[in-house]
Amino acid sequence: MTAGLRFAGVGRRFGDRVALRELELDCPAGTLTGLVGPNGAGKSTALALATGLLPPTAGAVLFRGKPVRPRDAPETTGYLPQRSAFHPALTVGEVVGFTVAARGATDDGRRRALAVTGLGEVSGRFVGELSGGWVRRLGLLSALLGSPALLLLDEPFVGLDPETHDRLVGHLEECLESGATIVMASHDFEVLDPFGPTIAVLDEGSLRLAARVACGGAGAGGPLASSRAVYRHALAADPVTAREGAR
Amino acid sequence: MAAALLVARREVRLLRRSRATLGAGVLLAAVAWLPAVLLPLRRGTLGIAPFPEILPLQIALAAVVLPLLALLAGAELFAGELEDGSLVPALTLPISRRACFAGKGLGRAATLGAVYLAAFASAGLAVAAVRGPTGWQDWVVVTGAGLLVSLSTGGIGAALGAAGSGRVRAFGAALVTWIVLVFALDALLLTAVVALAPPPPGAIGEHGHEELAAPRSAGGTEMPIHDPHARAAEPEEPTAGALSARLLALSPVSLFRLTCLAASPDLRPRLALAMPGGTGAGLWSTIVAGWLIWLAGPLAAGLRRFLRADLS
Repeated sequence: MTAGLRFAGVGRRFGDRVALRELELDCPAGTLTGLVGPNGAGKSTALALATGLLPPTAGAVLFRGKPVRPRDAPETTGYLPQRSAFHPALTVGEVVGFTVAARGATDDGRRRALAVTGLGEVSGRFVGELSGGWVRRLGLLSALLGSPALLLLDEPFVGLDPETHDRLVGHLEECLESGATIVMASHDFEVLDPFGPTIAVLDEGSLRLAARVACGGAGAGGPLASSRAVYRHALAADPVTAREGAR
Repeated sequence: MAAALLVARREVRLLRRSRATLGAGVLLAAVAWLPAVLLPLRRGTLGIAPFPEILPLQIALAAVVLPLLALLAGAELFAGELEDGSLVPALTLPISRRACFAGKGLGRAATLGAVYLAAFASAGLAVAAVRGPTGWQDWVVVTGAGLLVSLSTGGIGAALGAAGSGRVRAFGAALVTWIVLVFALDALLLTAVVALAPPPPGAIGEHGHEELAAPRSAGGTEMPIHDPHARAAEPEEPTAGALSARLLALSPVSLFRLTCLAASPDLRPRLALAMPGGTGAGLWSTIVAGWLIWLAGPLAAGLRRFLRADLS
């Protein structure tokens, strides 16, 4: 498999609190890795570390074999944080224009991102006037524009209507076919299964289990047939057993 | 460079829509216009005072208000967006933190600089039109020095807000810095300058130090009476005046005053009295070096803090 994103012994502390400890995880190109786990497990921290915005306190994050430059996001990364925030005094059109100019996206890429997110109809409105769902879509557009080779998405389907949800699934499948690496934090197992993902279960900052879900999703039989099954298996077993079971 | 300009355009757009920019414009207009309008009221008349009358009050007012405005505007430059998280989407694009820092700083400096120049240019033109242009050069120097002290203290404010510790802390730190720069440090430095200055004429006695230290004409050649063997080629010790100038360069606010006084033909004699031997060519070297340090230093500190800030 082509090298994608690799967490090599990555740890992160916030003062005395350990948010992530010694994370070893490979996310090959052309695959989707789902980060799942209870609240506070370290999923969002892992994504932020992969952007480079948050430097690790131990280990290194590598993308395509090269260390992610600390503090500056790689040019090839699209990132949707848990809480999308844009300046309320900018219009949607201005945010889109800014993102297009920064990424050097083509008109075609712009049109596709607008079509996926459905933001064309509110381009003249100020961000401060938008509902949470629309702001979420704007965050998605910012992450998807320019077809980044690495997509880091934190709960991307939250707050989306069914139509946008389906368009986003289709777009992410296209991204995977074109060789993109996708890492997605989610509490919603059903959105992960169609991608045939690798599920990495985090708990209290530690990786409990990383296992590939069989294509076909839930009901295909066996304990690792769905994301939910992987999750339950990981949290039921102690960390050592879970790691051995994943091998 | 292109990324920095992109961020700068975004910053200009945001400031054009901000009520704070309007408020800053009103305050700057007040600083620029009030001395010209208020001084005639002392004589019980309405009108506009001429430049030479305005300048001392203008300098005193600008030295207090401009650093406050600039410190707050600088502190808000990063503190607000870092607290709201609205800078994160920009920094996950191919925009480096350096470009973001440069772009936001450039955009804010350009916008508020334009507002500042508009306020002072309008007041200056009104004074010149009503009372004549006499002393306009001094006005230009005060305006330019005001811009420098604003940029310098704005840089300090940006450095205070660049670590991402939130608006309240950044504004609190900016206010404390303002009190230190404008009142405590300024008073300390002025006290030191007064202590270094020679005693006023007549204070020593009829034949006291003043008379003894004054150059005496002897056959057309002026020679200091206290050192008849002095040679011109010997390296000169720094005078008390030169030391005073260096002391004043330790604060951007004091440096602002020094720049205004040094550049004004009307006010320079007062400076020469307070800083004997300190108003020569070396004074301008001190002033230029002081401004370079006060402009570059805070920006370097701000960039360093911004590069180290955890933004996620």
